[in-house]
Amino acid sequence: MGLVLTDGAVVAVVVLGVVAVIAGIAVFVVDSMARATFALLASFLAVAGVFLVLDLTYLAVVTALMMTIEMAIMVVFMIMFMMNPAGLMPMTMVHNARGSAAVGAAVFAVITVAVWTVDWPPRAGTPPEDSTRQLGEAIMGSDMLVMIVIGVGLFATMVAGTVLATHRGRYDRFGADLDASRPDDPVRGGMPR
Amino acid sequence: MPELTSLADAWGLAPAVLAVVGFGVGLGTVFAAVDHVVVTGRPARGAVEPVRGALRWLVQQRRTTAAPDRLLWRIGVVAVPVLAVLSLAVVPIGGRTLLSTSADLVWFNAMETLLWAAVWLIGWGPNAVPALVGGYRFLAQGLAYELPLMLALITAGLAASSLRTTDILAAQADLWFVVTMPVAFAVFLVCATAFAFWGPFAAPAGADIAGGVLSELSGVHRLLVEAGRAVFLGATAAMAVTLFLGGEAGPWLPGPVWYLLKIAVVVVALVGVGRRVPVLRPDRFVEVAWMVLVPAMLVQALVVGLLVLAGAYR
Amino acid sequence: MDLSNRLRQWAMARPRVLIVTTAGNDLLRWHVEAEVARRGWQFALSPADTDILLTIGAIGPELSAAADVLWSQIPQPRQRLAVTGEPVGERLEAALLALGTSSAYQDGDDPATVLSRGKRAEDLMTPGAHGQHDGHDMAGHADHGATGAAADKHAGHDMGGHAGHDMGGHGAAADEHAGHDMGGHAGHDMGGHDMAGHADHGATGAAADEHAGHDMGGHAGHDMGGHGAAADEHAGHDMGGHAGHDMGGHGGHDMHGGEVAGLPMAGTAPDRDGLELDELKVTLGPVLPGWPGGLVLRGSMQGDVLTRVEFSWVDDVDLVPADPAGGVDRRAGALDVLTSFLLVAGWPWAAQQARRARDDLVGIGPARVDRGARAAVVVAARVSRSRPLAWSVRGLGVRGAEVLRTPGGGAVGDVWDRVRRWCEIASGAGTSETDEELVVGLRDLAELVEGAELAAARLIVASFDVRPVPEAKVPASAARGVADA
Repeated sequence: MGLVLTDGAVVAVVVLGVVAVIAGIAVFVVDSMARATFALLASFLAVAGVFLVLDLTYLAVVTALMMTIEMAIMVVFMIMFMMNPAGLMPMTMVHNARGSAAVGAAVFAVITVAVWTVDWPPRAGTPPEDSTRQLGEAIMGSDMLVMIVIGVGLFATMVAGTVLATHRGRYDRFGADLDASRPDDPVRGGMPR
Repeated sequence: MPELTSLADAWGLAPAVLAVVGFGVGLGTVFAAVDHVVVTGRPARGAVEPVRGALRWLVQQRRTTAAPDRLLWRIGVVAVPVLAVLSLAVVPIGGRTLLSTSADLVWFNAMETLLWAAVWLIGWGPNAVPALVGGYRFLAQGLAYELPLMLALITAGLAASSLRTTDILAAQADLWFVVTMPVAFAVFLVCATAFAFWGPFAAPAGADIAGGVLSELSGVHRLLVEAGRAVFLGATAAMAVTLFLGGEAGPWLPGPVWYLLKIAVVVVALVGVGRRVPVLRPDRFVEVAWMVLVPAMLVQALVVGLLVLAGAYR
Repeated sequence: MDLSNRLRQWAMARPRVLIVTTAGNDLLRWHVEAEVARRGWQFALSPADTDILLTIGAIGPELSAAADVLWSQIPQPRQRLAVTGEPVGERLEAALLALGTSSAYQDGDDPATVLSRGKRAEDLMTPGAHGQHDGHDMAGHADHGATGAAADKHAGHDMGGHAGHDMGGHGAAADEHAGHDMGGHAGHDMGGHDMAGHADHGATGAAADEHAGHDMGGHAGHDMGGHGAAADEHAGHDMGGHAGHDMGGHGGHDMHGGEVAGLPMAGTAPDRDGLELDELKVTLGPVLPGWPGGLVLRGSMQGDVLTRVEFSWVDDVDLVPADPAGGVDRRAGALDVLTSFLLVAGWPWAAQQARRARDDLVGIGPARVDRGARAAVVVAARVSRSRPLAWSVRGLGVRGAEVLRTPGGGAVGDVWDRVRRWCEIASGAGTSETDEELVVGLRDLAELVEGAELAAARLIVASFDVRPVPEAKVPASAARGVADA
């Protein structure tokens, strides 16, 4: 039950791992914003594939789901600021390339060394029947308070960030006394007001 | 609960995949045929035209544009049908799904978001204005529909206390979920249709931008995207039947007949309503999605949550 | 072979038609559209979707140059047809027949037609075959030996492999016409060529190079494809000039140059909200579904917001009869406007009903006209009562200095207001004085469209009866916007 991987599964993990690393490197090599974005997505999808092979279905699909949405939102910003279809205007995708390469290589080396040198403890107990349920219980059970605090904190951060970044506030839209019957927007929305 | 094996376990992977692809293509053809009949109002030819259209695209030359991002473009084109079939992998066929995952609903949702990325790539790749405009119309639209759709899926899972579609089917033995969650049912259909950029949500492929994301596709590329879209819409109908209409449940007739019948009803209703409504312009509807659909879904989820606590689904 | 021929004929039996025309050819266009619709054929939205390119009436040199470019963008099998009068039905049938047979591809001296001659691959690659191309295509192909060489290399084994190349595109099509392994094409195309082409940017540039001559035009002619080149194209440059231009672009392609593959990159400009954003030069028209034939919009696009908009008519306006109505039934005219508008508004179902009503109204025989009149009332009622449509388009394109709100949240003189007036006329209830509000001059129109998104701009244009009338003839009330400026 997932404890011992079959040969095929081992090959799949290795191949997906290599794909993830190569796609990750590609992010820094390609010179188009769209390609960098989707190389990053490919890297994440390879990681999701590794999870899938390890029978961690929920983690796998959630990784795919969240990362795709994240990349799509990145794409929105990309379009907002750049109107070059197909993005063939060559551009560099990194800042401080040397520094980030050094940091990346160092971290990769440390983790790789750790993986092979740490004396991992033998497994105690058996893998769960349903890893999704176990994960849910871990998150929503004993760690629920932490998760809720983090969730609210993240949400507050997003709202605050948007408020700080936005060019027009409600006083611009509804007037100084907030008494306008309809907001003064360049493009009106669909709500009846 | 009896342990149901997946189709892949029962039949072997290759036959099961073939069966699901065949089911998907069948669903897509039915959808396209119904669509054609409703649009042209000529029932006699409806069944033939999707086949003819597919053949036309097969004999047609594939074309390209100036300085396209061909790699990403082609990835998008191929991904659309692949993702449509993958989303079918967690829809029960004959009481079993192709893959038995413990997170079917999230899987379905993930395939939809990947479809989102794929459609954007199709808009981006050809390096042409109408396609690009279509691509980002789709993104803006998708952002607004993703959340209500996710909530609609989760609500069904909440009532069944499981993310597995087969468990959700089992939980509807007494009462179809559509009775207690009509809002989720409607929102699911609306949002899934929006993800397939079809009908009133077809702005990304609108006539005002010469076909948008589809404007530069011809030949087999166009066929792949159109087929993927039709299969996805068929899969949507099948998933709606599974999540809200009790799947194969029904008196007198055998289960599979009920299942197909319900799918047909959903397809006909979807097309009948969808084609009689003009495109709802995204800049208007996006606001409604955020300000009406999301709160409505939260209330729906709350109601279902209370019903779960009250033991209504046991 | 016979079977594949018949299959192909069957597959192409309901072709899609792209119509090129100008204002002033309305009656003929309606007749042609009725004939097209009667056969169950459909109207194409873009060149990629087209089987038959249909030119209606006498068109000027600029528009016919644009039609040439469109033609170069239409995938094979394809047919080109110019209709200037009766018999329309027979011409359409002949075009359909030609579309379904491989023998028909041998007619004409168009390069693509030559290239699509079944399996005669050797012909395609020999200088002789090139000799048959007309001038502009020569410039595109002959300029770079590399493409020719690549094509030669592939010629022997699999034409399908060329699909990605410009020349190969035709080659592949030829192969497909012959009914050869289509699956193989797809597979091949996805493989080595594309991947390799993008492994580094230099290679991409090279690949683009190969396409340049062919595809540039596509963008140009494909009305909305508005790269800078598009404007050139409409201005009447010839293809040869473009091919040369492309090559030059490549020669001087540096990492941050102004062009990639001969296409100018977007520059930046202040946007509607005062931010400095990329702007792209775009051209809409002169050929676009649901768009007044021959009208050209030039402007900049930031996101999908149109700025610095200018309208003009392709060719010489004087070519078109000054009398816009031309004695045509006003109801049919209104239904024609509604057909375009509903198409642009994304309601093909209703657009089709409006078109059928129009075709019946101008049809032959009192019974048919009567049926058309009744259908017109039905479709007008349906459109003017549609809440979703009203909700989608109201408040757009408001004309006049002061904005008068209507109870429904719209405004007097907005797109929805005009659509309802068209509906009144279509159902026979309109009075003649409503006409003034529905006619617009180009400068006035440009002002309305300025700062609108692409979708809104299309709706605004479609809500008017835009015709090449001299500015002086535009009613004073309609020119209010200009007076303010």
